[in-house]
Amino acid sequence: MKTFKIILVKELKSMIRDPKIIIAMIIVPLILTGIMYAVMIGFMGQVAREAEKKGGLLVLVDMDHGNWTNTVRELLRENGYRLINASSLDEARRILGSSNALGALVIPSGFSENLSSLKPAHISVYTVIRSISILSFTRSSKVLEAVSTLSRNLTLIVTTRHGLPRGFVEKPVDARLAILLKNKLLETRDVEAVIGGLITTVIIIPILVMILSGFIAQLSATSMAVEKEEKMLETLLSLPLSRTQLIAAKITAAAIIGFLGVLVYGGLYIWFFSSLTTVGSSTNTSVVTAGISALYSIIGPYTITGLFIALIGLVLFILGLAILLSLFVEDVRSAQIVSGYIVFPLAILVFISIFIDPASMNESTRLLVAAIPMINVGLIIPYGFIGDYSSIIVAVASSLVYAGIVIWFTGRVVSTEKVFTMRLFKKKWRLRHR
Amino acid sequence: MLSTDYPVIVKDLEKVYPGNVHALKGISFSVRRGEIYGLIGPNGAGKTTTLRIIATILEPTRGDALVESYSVVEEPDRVRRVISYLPEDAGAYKYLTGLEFLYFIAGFYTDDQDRMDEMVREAARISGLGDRLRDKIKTYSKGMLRRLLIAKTLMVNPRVAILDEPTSGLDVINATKVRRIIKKYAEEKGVTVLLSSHNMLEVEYLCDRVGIIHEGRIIAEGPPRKLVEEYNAENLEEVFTKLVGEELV
Repeated sequence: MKTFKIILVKELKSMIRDPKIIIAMIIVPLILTGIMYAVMIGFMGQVAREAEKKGGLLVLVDMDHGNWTNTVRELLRENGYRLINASSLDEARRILGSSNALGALVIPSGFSENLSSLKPAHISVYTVIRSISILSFTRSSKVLEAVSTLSRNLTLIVTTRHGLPRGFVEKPVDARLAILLKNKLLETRDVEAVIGGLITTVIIIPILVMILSGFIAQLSATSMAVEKEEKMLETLLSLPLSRTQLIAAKITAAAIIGFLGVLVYGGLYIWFFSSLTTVGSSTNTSVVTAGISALYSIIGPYTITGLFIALIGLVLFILGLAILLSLFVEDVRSAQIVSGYIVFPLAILVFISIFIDPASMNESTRLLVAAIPMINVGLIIPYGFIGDYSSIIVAVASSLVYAGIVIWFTGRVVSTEKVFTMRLFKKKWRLRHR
Repeated sequence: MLSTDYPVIVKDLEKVYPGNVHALKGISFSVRRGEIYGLIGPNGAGKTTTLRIIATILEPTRGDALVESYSVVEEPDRVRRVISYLPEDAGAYKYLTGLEFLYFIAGFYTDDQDRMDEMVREAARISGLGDRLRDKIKTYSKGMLRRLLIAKTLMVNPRVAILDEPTSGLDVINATKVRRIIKKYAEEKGVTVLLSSHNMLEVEYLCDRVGIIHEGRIIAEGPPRKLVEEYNAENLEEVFTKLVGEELV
């Protein structure tokens, strides 16, 4: 293990002292997440505030002229809406076009008569989309919110006048919410939060795997290319060292730095997504936390352990592939480009796993899919969810086997002269030979 | 020919690169213990390929080379334990200090900390870099880097030192320093040195014997003075010109 130790220490020293690594590991994620936070959270906060903001300008076309229309006017004004009267739909359209009104409400004749005789009444609602943006859509939907509030207020007036129990009229059936997750009953006040949390968590894990893949592939590819760029490869290969330990040490160093990077990225992303999902919410409950908590209670420690081991296999697999490809390029820049060749297709495989539903497959298909690299890691949680532990074992084992094969093959290649004579990009290679 | 007298024996070495490029076409030579042997010739003659094969970086297509009786084909790991190789275009890890780099190299040759310290002290003496060894290598000039690399190659007291174009790219002053280092070290320690150069004046100064290599073949071999006399020339450059003159025209 002498070679391993010497190379590992050297790699860690070089990486930690390389400002490019520090920039990629800490500064870039901080800047990116900061920008994303400022843009997304700031924007979504603005959207939420816009949605919550009471009132606005509405155009009212009264074709009913009854007493309930006056009630409608009063209720809208009480809720902070300013009204412009229009005598016809055409006039309402002109006003909508020339003002900043949220929309128009057209009260047809017979409106008051219907409400007086306890029959459903109708209002035509015209909303305006002034631009293709979320903010504009939010403003447009406020007209519907105005009608919804109006409807609730009218219900209150009608039930009071006729002595009906308001709670019964508004909600004759009250649902007590609970989710049956596998064999466990999860009682909750907010089903949507738990479902949203589960979905978010299942998406976040593949995203983190993709970030991890990209980061460590770049690091490992770079660590080998640096030997060429700093013109040390020839010296290294002439030293009395174990080539397998050389590769293992480089992989370990890249994995250590990569995991540190992922902690930074992962921490920032979890915080970011948690913040994203609670924007505008009246409670501080994070759906991600709810999702993780719900998931852990269902899939248990075995699946989590399996996921952890499979992730180690996945990391080693990508590192081995990245190092293998970087052996055949001349410099760091080319190594980073070729690492992109593997990371993006592999990332797509992880992304595909989001859309696969193992519950809809038969056992043999699940086992087969569990052997597909990258996809299998993304499917471990869904497998755990349906209790398919055979597929989890196949997924974990295949991840480790693929990693072993790639590292073994890379070690073999480094032990041959191919590392010197083969090039991915055959640019003027003959000039190297004397 | 006894391998005890000849730590390097090269036999019918051939190398064909992908694309059917014949870099070596059957090279044979031997290096006596304690001598400085120079492979000389123009760019593309096959010097670096020969040294890379002896340093176990490349595999020969045919033939073999024995280093301290170990075959570079059959026993490359054993060969690596008795050689120390300086590639022509060598560099060093720029984020390490000179001292850290020397300890990094020494660590592959011994586990004993005292021996390691001794090697690094020797390297400091050879390189003459003094306190600059505590600085990061990225701050070194080209001449300083080359002296550091010569020092790392010699500090391990190899049985065979292989130096590919040791003064390549250096100015006159630094090149002279490096030549003196090599000459002095070889004399002091009795180390066998195999080097290559296209600078024939340098080779005349350094080498006990030379092999003139051209288009993958050794076309003449012997002590520089003997070759100069034999070909009735003023120096090795003229010998080379006479040997391949027709092709040069």
